[in-house]
Formats: sequence, structure tokens, C-alpha cells
Amino acid sequence: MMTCLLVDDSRVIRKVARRILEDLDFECREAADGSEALKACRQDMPDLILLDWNMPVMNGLDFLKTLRKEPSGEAPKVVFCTTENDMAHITEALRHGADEYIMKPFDSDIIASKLAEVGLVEAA
Amino acid sequence: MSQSWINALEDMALRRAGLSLTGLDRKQIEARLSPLARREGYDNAEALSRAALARPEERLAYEVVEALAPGKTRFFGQGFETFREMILPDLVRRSENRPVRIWSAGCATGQEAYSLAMLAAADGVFAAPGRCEIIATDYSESAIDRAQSGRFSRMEVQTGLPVRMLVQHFEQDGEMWRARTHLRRSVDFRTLNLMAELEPLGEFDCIVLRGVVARMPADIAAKTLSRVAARLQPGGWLMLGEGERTPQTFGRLDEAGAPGLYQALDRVPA
Repeated sequence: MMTCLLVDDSRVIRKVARRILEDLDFECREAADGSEALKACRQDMPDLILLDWNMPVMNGLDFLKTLRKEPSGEAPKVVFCTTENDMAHITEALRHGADEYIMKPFDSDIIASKLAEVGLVEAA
Repeated sequence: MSQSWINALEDMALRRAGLSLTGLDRKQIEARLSPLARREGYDNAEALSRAALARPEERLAYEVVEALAPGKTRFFGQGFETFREMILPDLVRRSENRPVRIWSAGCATGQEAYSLAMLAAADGVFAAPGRCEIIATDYSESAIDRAQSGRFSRMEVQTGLPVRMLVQHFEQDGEMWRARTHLRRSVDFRTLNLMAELEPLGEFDCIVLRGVVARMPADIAAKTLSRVAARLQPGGWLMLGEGERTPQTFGRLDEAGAPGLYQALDRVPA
């Protein structure tokens, strides 16, 4: 089974995303900010990280920059999932190693489509 | 009695656009027509339909048929791997001597045509101006208007379109995303009824006709397929949608190794 780490400071968002990803057969763990997420990755590197941008303690971009320097930190597919909906944020995320980008609000169709783009689920 | 306007509507959609409403119930038909009814000041879908049926030569009748046709499409999706892997290399080879021509038939709001244009642009040889001509047609004027504007909602650009292509080919336009000028200019959008004369379009190296014949009754579908396929250059490609097939009796089109993909062996008779 593929594993996913859901990183978002909103419990509601994590719950919604978790339901969608579990339907797509992912085993999910959750983290409420970038530093919790880093701990979770050091314990066990997931196949997929769904990553919010604005979070307390450590934001999504700082987490991504740190992650990509960690041992096996290049392995997980990182998909931003954020209300930062402008071109500047998207290009910055891509420059620092994000694989895909979801602009909130999202639904199961968008998540499935983006996971197909990064090759983690079969294309619809 | 209340069924009679629906029967008349079915008849009109069939005659005008080859569009079959079989399988749609009254509720679904009303759902497709209510926005237009509201806009035009009718009480409901039935009142709108009756007005359109009474004056079939007027604009309202056209708009009713337009509203009945499902126009939802997405970027890329099923069939595009085939286009990238099998068709594109052949088009590149064909473009050595003359520009190649691609036709997106029944293009709705343009996602399919723009997807073809983005793949063609990704292949260096087509970056040179004039090497590749993409024509996209639809029955619906409002769909063609939207396609031409190149404006898509955040939802639309997130289903099927990789984010790197979004960054490369689109720009922000308020809450919407808009195809950049280079992408908009690479597709020639036109209003066209597939039931009308197709010869003026010329001939094509590749025709993409997805989700169109599936909603036509079998006899009209077969006729439309043969008229469309008659626009293929010898060796040209015809790409149909998921689950769409040419009838057994259809001559001179060869199955080309992927579902719904055909190649014209020789000129296809209309």
C-alpha cells in the first residue's frame, strides 16, 4: 500500500484530504506543521506528501527545502495544496522541488488528476 | 401530452445537430435548458422549448439545441498518450515537406485543441511558425467563444493539465487562468455543424473526434464518421473517444494499434 503524509494546520482539511486519499488506497499519516512533518519523514519516508503552504512553526516551502536535502528526501512526490493561488507561488514551489500544485479549494477529481500527473495513481 | 414537446425537441436536435437525446429523462433535459430559459425570460424549460419549436428558423431554436449538447471537456486525458507516442512522431516526419494539419472536431470549450497544441509545441519541430496548423470546430457558438477567449476556471486547469504546462502556457486573469497569446494563436477556432459541408476545411493529417459520434444515433454516426474520415490525407490518423468504434462496414480505415485509433490506408470515400 502507498503511504501519504498529510501536512496542514487545519484538522478539517486533513480529514477531508484523508478521506479522499484513503479512497485512492493510500495509508495516511498527519502532521500539523513543517517541523512535525520533518519528524514523520525521518521516521519513515512516505511515497506522497500533500503539503499546505502557510503553517505555524515551519511553513510548507521551508519544509520542502529541508526535505530535499535529507537522505532519501528526493524520493517522495510532493504536491502542494494551498490557498496561495498565484503564479509567483507556483513557480517558487516548482523551483524548490515540488512535483505538483493544487490550488484550494480541491475535490477528489482534482486530487486524482494530480496524483495521475506524478504517476502515483492510474490516469482517469 | 406533456411528452409531446420533448419528442418534438428530440426531433429538432436530431435534425439540426445529429444529437440524440435518447437516454436523457425529462429532468435532465430540463436541467440543461433552465439556465437558457431564465436568461431568455421564460417560465421554464417547457415554455422555452415550445417557443423555439414554434419558430425553428430563429436564433432561439439554435440556442436550445446548443444548450442540449453536452459541452464538458478536460485537458489531456484518455487518448493523449497515444497521440504523443504514435501520432506525433509520424506528424513530425510528415511535416518535413509541408505543414501538417490537425482537426479537433467537436472541440467544445477548447481543452482538447489546446492540449494538442501544447504537445505539438513541446516537440521542437513544430515551434517554427507554419509547421503545424490546428483547426478546432464546434456546433456551439458560445463554446467557440469561450474556447477562443482561452479563459478557464481554476477547477478546469487543475483536471488533466500538469502544473508545469499551466506555468508555461497560461497566465492569471483574475480568478481565471487564460491561455497565453502564443497558445491562443496556435489554434484556429471556428463554428461548424458536422452535418454541413466539410470539404471547404481541406484535408488533414490527423482528426480528433472524441465523444461526438457516441451521442448520435447509429445511422447518423456512421454517416458522420465516413464524411469526417473523407477529410483524411492518405495515411492520416483518426482518433475517436473511449468506447467509440467505426462500424464493421466502414472501408479503408485500418485499426492502428490503440483503442479508437485508425489510419486511412488510402483516400477514404465520402
